Amino acid sequence: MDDSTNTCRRSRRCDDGRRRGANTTRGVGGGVGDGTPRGLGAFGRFENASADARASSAVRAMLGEGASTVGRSTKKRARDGEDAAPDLDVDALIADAERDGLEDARVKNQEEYDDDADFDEEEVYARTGQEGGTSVVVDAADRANWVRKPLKKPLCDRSDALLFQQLDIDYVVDKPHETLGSRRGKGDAAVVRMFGVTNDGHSVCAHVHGFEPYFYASVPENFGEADCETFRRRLNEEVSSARKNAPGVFVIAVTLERKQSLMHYSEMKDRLFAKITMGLPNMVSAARGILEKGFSVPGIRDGSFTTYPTFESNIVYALRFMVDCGVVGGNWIELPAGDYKVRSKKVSHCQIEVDVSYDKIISHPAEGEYSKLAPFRILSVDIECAGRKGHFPDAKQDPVIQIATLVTEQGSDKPIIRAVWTLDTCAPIVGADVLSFKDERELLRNWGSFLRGCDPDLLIGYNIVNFDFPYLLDRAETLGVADFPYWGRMIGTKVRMRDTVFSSKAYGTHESKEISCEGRVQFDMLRAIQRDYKLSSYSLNAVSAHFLGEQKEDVHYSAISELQNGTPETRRRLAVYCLKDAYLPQRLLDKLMYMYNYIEMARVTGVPLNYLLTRGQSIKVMSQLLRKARQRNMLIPHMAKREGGNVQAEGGVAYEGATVLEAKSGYYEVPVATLDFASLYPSIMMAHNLCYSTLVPKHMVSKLNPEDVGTSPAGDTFVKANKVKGILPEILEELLGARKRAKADLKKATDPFVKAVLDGRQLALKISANSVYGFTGATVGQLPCLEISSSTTAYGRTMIDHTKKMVEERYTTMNGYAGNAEVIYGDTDSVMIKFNTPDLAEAMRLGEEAAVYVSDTFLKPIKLEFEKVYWPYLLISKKRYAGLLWTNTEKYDKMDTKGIETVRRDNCLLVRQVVETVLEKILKERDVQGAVKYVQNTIADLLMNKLDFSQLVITKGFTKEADSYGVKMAHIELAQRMRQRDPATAPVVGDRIAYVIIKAAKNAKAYEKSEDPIYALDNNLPIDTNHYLDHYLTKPLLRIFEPILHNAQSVLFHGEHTRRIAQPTPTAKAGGIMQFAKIRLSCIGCRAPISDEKLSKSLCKNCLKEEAMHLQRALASVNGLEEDFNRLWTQCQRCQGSLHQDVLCTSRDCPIFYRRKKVQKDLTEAAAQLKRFDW
Amino acid sequence: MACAVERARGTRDGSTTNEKYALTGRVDHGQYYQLYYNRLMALKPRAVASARARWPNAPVRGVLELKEHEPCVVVGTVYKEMKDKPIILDEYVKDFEREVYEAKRIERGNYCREDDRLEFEDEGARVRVLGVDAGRFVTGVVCAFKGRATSKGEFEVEDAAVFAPARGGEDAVTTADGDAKYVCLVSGLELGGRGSSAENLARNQMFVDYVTGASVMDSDAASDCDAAHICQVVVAGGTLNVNAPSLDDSTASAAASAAAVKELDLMFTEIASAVPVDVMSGKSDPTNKAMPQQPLHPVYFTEATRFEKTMRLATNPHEFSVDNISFLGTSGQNVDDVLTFSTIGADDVSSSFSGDDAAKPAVAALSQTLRWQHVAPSAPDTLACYPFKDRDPFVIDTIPRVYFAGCQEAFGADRVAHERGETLVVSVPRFSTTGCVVLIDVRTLECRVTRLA
Repeated sequence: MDDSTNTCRRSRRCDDGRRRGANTTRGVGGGVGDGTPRGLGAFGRFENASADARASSAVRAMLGEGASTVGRSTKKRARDGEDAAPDLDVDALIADAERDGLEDARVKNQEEYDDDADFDEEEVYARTGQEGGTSVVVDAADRANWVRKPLKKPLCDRSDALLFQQLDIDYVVDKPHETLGSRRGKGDAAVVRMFGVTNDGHSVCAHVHGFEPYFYASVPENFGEADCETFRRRLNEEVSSARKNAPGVFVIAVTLERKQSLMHYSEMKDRLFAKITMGLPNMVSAARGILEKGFSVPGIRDGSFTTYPTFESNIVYALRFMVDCGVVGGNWIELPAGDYKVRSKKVSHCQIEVDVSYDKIISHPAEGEYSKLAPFRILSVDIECAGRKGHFPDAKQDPVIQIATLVTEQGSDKPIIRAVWTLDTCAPIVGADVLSFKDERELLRNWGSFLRGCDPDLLIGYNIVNFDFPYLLDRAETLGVADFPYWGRMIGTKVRMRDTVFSSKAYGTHESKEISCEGRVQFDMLRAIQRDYKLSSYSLNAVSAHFLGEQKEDVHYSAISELQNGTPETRRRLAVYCLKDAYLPQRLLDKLMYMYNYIEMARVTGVPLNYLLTRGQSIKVMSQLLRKARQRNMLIPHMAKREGGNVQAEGGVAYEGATVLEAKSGYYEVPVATLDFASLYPSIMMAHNLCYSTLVPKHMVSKLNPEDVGTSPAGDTFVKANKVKGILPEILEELLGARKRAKADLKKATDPFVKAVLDGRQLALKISANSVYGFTGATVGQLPCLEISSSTTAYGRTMIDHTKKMVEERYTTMNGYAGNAEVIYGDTDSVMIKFNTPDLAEAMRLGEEAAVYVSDTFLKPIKLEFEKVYWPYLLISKKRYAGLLWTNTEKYDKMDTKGIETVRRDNCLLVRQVVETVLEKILKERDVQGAVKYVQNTIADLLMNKLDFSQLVITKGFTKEADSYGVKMAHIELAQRMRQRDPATAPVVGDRIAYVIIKAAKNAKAYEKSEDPIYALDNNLPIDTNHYLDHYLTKPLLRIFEPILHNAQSVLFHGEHTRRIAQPTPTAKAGGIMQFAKIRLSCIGCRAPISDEKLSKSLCKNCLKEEAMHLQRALASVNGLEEDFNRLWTQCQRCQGSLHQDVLCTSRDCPIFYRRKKVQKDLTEAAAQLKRFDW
Repeated sequence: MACAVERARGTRDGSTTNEKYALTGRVDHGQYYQLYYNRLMALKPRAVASARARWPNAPVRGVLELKEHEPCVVVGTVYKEMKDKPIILDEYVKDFEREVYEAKRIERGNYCREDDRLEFEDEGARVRVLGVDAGRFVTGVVCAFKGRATSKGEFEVEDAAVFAPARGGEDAVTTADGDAKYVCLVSGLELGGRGSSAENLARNQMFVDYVTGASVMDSDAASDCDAAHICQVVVAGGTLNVNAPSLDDSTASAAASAAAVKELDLMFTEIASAVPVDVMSGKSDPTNKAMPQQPLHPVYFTEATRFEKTMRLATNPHEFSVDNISFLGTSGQNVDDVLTFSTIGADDVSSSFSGDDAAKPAVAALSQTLRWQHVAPSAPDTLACYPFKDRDPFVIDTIPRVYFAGCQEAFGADRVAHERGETLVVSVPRFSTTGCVVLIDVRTLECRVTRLA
């Protein structure tokens, strides 16, 4: 260990100490550090912390480093910006109160860190040395590939340019760089850090100096150059006093510039603005507050109290930097030879670390060769913990027993590392490295050390942000593994974790953890999939079944402890399972092309990669708006946030939304053509030049030439494009133009990689274009402008009406067409037309023609397109329909349904299956009678208890909120009953609860009828089939059949098929009357009691004559069950990937989970009955 | 001639060892892993012995003990990964294209593909196996491979697989001395189905007359003389082909099936009155479907079962001996399943094959199960069977001298040489379609087919 090379940056003592506990700004780290800085050698090297000497030296390195820097560094991680950040991003609203609470907690932690820092280092060395000795590291294969390839030759900053793809950008507050930093500020400065990877796979950390935070304020026209310094001094005083009279230079400079405001059309060319440059990013909001509240400056307006509207005062510093330097998320950065300096004393774990001035950066647009992706390292992780019976694992008590890790290089399809860390011994696994430890602390330490050595750029997993990572961090804290939470790329900087509330109109409100891990992007697949796909369940099992087409073995956490407490072989089994779970996120990432799509999205919208998962849509629009406004010399006003806006009301759009034409419900057996507006809202905004900068204030309207303006149906006036082109239309034009190009290129492309990139790009562009409209309508957003959004929807509505009118007027028999056209339904951006021709080809031709005919009457680029024909078409009501979709005359493309109960997750499978089959029969087979028959049969089967049991299972999440609701809910009640029965296996918060509805006493409340499916099976509890019929089947089926059958209710739900019912006899255990019943054999043939059991145990005297026939019947049921049993249980044996070990899987998401249990029971029963035939 | 008939008939020294196939007591359905585990435990020591004999220098390693590039032997159970294997989860996937594809696949009748892959598993772990033609195996076969582990964690096989050696099997002396003594194998009478057509009813009677000696009369045709020497009739499954009457069934079909059962009862009464007959359960018979199939219920044969000494209702598989010659046979499901899930076919019979070419695949598959020392390795993976907890009754503990499968397309026989000598392997054709019965001389183990037309 190299103690002498003093690379640790001397911590700076500052006023932090005094501010501690009192200040309310977030993220100001701090400790009173006057200890000798302890420098440590390059700890970038991965040490295999086995029982050898190197291991303990690695740990010592870690510890020493931790001890010297933890709590003493005042460097502040400020990824999401100054304290102003929450103002900026409505989507990631962090409740203020919560923040304050956090602040206290954080400061408290800080003090604990200080305590940690004081432990006796020598003692620690001794301890780790000893622990190192007890760890049992199983001999693993060559691990040369675990660390990044070394550089072929050292980078020379004089002769080599440095080119890398940046993936993460943040900043720290630090001493200004000696030569590259700005010298204007007296104190610390913000230093931007860009983390990335070179084309050869080397990690890079570039410290970018000299970029100063700034914003604008509107000042009176008579504000002179001479006033600037007075203004600066006064503002500085105010900021200082707001900061408890802290001395220092906060406002560095005030200069004058002529610019235009983005808001409202103005005849004036430009106005006078003061550009106010601040010392540190977090001072911007303080200054903004002062200016907006107002203050007096001698010499300006005679020193009277004046307010100054601010502009671009809520921009995250890192984004400000990116906008000004033309950097977009995930693009390639070049630092020319001679313009940067290689750091000799690194502060990060990156292989290459350089300093550069911000104005020397060359940022390459993501085109041509710069559209490629660097071979960055993706680390996928999954952990297992040993929970106690009846409890969800708790980091305070339950150990982490395994950590499986896979590392893949972007662009290769095989992982380069497959490894699993296990507590206690574990039998080897072919193709994977197994590292076993006796001591959990040692396991955590070793994994942490591996993480740093492996140096991944991306951390992925399934629910890592809310489970795996917090668990690891909490666990390490509980165990006191002080050297564990150093996962970031900066040497000696701890990972920090806090609770956040994410709230967005598009994605809803989520509570989650936020974990800072400097320089490594966290990409939680759960979060990404929740954002991008509507699924009925987001369990890893359901998701992999959906996207990868395979069921995943699901071991219940109570079984995990048993495996852990078994033998090396059972632990191995667990490890194999854990590895599989670590591999799935990687496979999902590949399958869904997430890297391509998300990096494309970051590039198109210009935000850093990590914003895409942690922020909402609006930051992306804001980023584009900023870039565009900058080109036009325009400034974006800061809009003060509305007070008292609670989360519920957020995003509530106060204007009339898109309406739909009245649906003429019915079953249409002639083709129905559908005309769609392509990108409706974006094209309206472009056609009518709707923008902030073209909106004419009401009082201005009369002053303008009516030729130059257009007034929307909502009554707002915008100037036309020939006068001045709006920024939003320009952004949209570029997005849609780029999308068109991407789609054209996609058609030409043959290389699958290029295709993936282009497809990702066109998708990103489409989503971005559509989010612009939403941005203008988000009332608590950063720049709401309801004039724009309500005008957009108003135009949309009139266009739909206009289309209906034109079509119905033209296509008539009077005009020589085969039939009178009728618009039967119109949705937001589409119109359904029945041309009244039975001919599919003719309907398509007319649709095509009508699209052109109507489009001609619209302003460009609004275009109505003919896309598809529905034939037949079942229109139930507005937003509810189903039909066979045709785009050619040969064969239909698919069955398309909307708003019909096929995917609602709280429905049982039965509903979904019945609805799907019925629609298929009606639409595909055109067999209404068949559909009726099918429904009747299904109902008969339901009443006869013949249905696949799993079709009746309903699942609901057991959440904290649900538990605390006053209302009694079926699944919550059930959870309580299960807890009474057996606390060990009862569901706990976080589980999904599955239940069936059983027959209960008369007048029982609905919530009392829920029962655990397994319990119901075991005890033969009768299913309340009528409940399923009345509550689940009736409504959706009537909706479908009412347009088709005039007496649907009586045909479907009354009649012969509902007369026969069957019910199992409950066991005594189930309680009720059965406890007192005496079971007597009854005849298998006629159910009469058997009077003479000596004669036959199976049949009564009468039926005995036909014994062979009754036997055959009994056999028939056994045979069906035997086959099912075989197919079900061999499937489970296959799925778990082992023949010789028992199936442990308890995946309730798997369609056969209940079925296999039921067949087991039914078969045992049927076989017992067979035995009664005296065989 | 008549006296000769009297002498041979009804005298055979025979017993069964079918207890292991019986499902007695509480029939509890658990999981399948114990069956696989018991199979491995039964066959592994034997396969290890074979491997040691063949590759004396290579160490035997568990899958968990594999070291990269070290030549060694692994012993375990084969699992065959097949993309086209029908699985129950497909029921939950509704897809038109899948249906079309399925239809084609079913038409082909065989689920093998080029890219089927083998996995190999011992009690510890599983490893992928390279360098082996997956088509030659089915899931559940226990064997030994020699090869070495690759750096990617796969196992590269370098030599042919070795199976458990044959055990037991008395080397009974074959002699041509004295009069011939035949065991007559027949299968697929299919009463109630094909077997009940007018033409077949007549032929069924011919069969009864033939085995009971009623047709001998004054004729001195060679075949009829042979008939006189039959000492045991074995019906290898497929006696009945009746649909189980369901609750909605018309009385007509119930009556039809009752008639078929009665007809059969009469046939067996006639036979059993003259010669011992074993009736095995088969695929279409009214008993349980999963292997091992239990004997048909005596209620079907109220008359025939009066002949307690000569009428025997047997399990499938059926293991018995006649005059110290051991027989083991099934009603054919094991063979059908191996043919469906492997590429074993007509080319795999030996040069000593005799019989109809159409029987070659069946004989090849049957011979292969003999080499595997397991009657039905693909059970439970693709062939339904009972989840035994304490044993794998399908492991061949004692190699039979005669090994047969009923309900096949055609007659064929082959001789399979092994550690304990030689076993006669016979494919018994369906009587209802071929009118053929098989005669095996228990003195010489000569085997031939006789067609009753």
